[in-house]
Amino acid sequence: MKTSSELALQNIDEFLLDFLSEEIIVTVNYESSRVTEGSKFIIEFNNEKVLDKFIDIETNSFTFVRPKQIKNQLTIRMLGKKPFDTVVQDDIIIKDTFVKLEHIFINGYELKQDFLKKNVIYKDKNDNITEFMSGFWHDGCMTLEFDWPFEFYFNDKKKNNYDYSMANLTDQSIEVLKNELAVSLKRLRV
Amino acid sequence: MQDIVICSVPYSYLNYIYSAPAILKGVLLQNGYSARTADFGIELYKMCGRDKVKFAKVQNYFVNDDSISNDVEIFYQNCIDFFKKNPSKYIGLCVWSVFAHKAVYDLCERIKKAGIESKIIIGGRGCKVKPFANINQYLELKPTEKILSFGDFLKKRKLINECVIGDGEDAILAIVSGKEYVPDPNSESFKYPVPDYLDYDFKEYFIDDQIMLPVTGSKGCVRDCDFCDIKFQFGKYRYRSGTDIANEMISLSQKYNIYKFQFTDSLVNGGLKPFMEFLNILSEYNLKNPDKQIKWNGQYICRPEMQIPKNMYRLMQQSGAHGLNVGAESGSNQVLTSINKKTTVEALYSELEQFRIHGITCVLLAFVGHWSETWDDFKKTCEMLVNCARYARSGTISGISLGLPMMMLDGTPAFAHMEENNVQVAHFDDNNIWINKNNPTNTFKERIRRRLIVFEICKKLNIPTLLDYENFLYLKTVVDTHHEKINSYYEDQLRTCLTEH
Repeated sequence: MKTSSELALQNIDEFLLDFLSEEIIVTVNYESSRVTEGSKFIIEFNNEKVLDKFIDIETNSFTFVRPKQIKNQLTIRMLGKKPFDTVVQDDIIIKDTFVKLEHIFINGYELKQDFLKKNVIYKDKNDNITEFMSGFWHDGCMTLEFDWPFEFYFNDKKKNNYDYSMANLTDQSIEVLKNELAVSLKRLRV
Repeated sequence: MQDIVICSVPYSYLNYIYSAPAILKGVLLQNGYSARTADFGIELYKMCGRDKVKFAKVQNYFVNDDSISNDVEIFYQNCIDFFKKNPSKYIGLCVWSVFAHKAVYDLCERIKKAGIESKIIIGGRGCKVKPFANINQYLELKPTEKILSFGDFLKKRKLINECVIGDGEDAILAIVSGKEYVPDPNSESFKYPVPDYLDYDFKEYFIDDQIMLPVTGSKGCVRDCDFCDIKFQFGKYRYRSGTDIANEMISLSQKYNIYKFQFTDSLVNGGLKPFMEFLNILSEYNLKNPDKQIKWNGQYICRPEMQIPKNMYRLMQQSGAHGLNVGAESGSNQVLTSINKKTTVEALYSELEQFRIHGITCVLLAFVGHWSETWDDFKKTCEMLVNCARYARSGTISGISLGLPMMMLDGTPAFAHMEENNVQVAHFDDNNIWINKNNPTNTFKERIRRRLIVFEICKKLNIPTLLDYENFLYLKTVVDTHHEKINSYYEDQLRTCLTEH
């Protein structure tokens, strides 16, 4: 009979599932402002509206928890901004309606600008894909699609720091040695 | 002729500049003696064509039971040639840990055989403990030799003249001047002149391609973790004032144009008062000198949130704290209690969060297979790694060192309390091959498997890890050399366990 450690080594992905959350926890920290009332800030998760509010002058944080699905979709949007919601004086914007996204966390992972730029689809009010912005100064929406487990998805997409580990030894040389160690280990009975 | 040549020897980590020779040289020069230093680890690395894999393989000889290679023979001959070209009244060899035992033994023997008449002094943490397991095999030690400290063992074999236990700064002066050295066990502080690194070839060391100068702010530790021999080695925790340390760093940065420092201390934040004093001075210096800002790293202990002084994290950030080594050890609070770590995994998460907020980076140190670690405890360490992945992505954790599985080392509380913990060691390798009869599934084989599992977890989550190659090479050599004895040992032990139960 195989021991727990043998089984874990055989299938590390399955072993890791024990430690991963069955839920998806999303936190959005934002700063918003408005000129007139009526513009909306909306967050949808897997086609469910989890936040639908009129934009106010505030710095706030919103967290929601939903059960995992294998494929997930997070959409953040601004709606209903009117032309006079941007007040310009001498070519300078003196008052505006906007939602600035300060931080987005999913399961404790901060989704920084470099990640969002590469992985979200940012669309304007006409549904045209445009350059990513860290919030909304016009009507539009951003969508992130991700697989569960989020930990696998995110750590696969974002590998910053990883080179540090190699200390100039290649992955390959460590892999070869690790496999040799695994073979040597078979010489031990208990 | 020089008064003394002081050398560090392999096993060597190249991302670390061994400061002891420079500190001792500084002390000697200040007192009118002549001295030079050499880092034989770096010489071996150069001899390996600066090939890190080759270097790791050649170095494995020093910590394992590999037979001597031609490369090592050439290396030793180069060391002897160096001593002949640099004649001195004394040769000082740094025994920084048990990992230096084999090289020190071999070198002492070769110095004598070469007819070099310099008196040999050894010093360092590896002197006070018993000879390392691989020395037992290599030299077939007699039972009466196995129980001696490494220093006494070399004296018995007439290979050395003096062995310095404890602080070398005062002892070295006493020895070269022919006086007797009496250490002061009640001293709470220590001081020494600015170390002399002029013989060091800084460009050969690699840490993110930036050289770090070592600095020592304290000796000993305020904790007494059971896998660690610091308390045994240093006794009472002693520290320099924050002002003294900060001044040394500022002075060294101006002398060598190097602005990164690495503390050699067991912990930088053992005394919060000197630590805050140090942070305040360096923060002010960095704010006033934006083009010459100092950065520093070192070993750092987690403390409960309520003990943390106001503004400490902000001051750490401003003073240039980065790459702090934090001993996480295990994700299981049960294991942390058995270790006597006096902290929890929750405290680690709280500290990591503060580091993230303040942009302070760190390297975590962890290991598997503590004598008290059950499979469920091990799973908690796996969970800790999963929880740490987010800090690797945020850049807070630069890397995790997963080390070697628990070793029973002479001088550690774990070694001293083996009987009460029901731990028994094998006579042929009392460092690696041991069993806890209350937790008998934690065998050497199981510990290696756990080591491989945590490696795979980090790989899956792209968590940077350190020194895996060296660790795997070491473990593979132990298995390949001793597999028959290991099998017999565990089969016997497990049979006894079954009988007893």
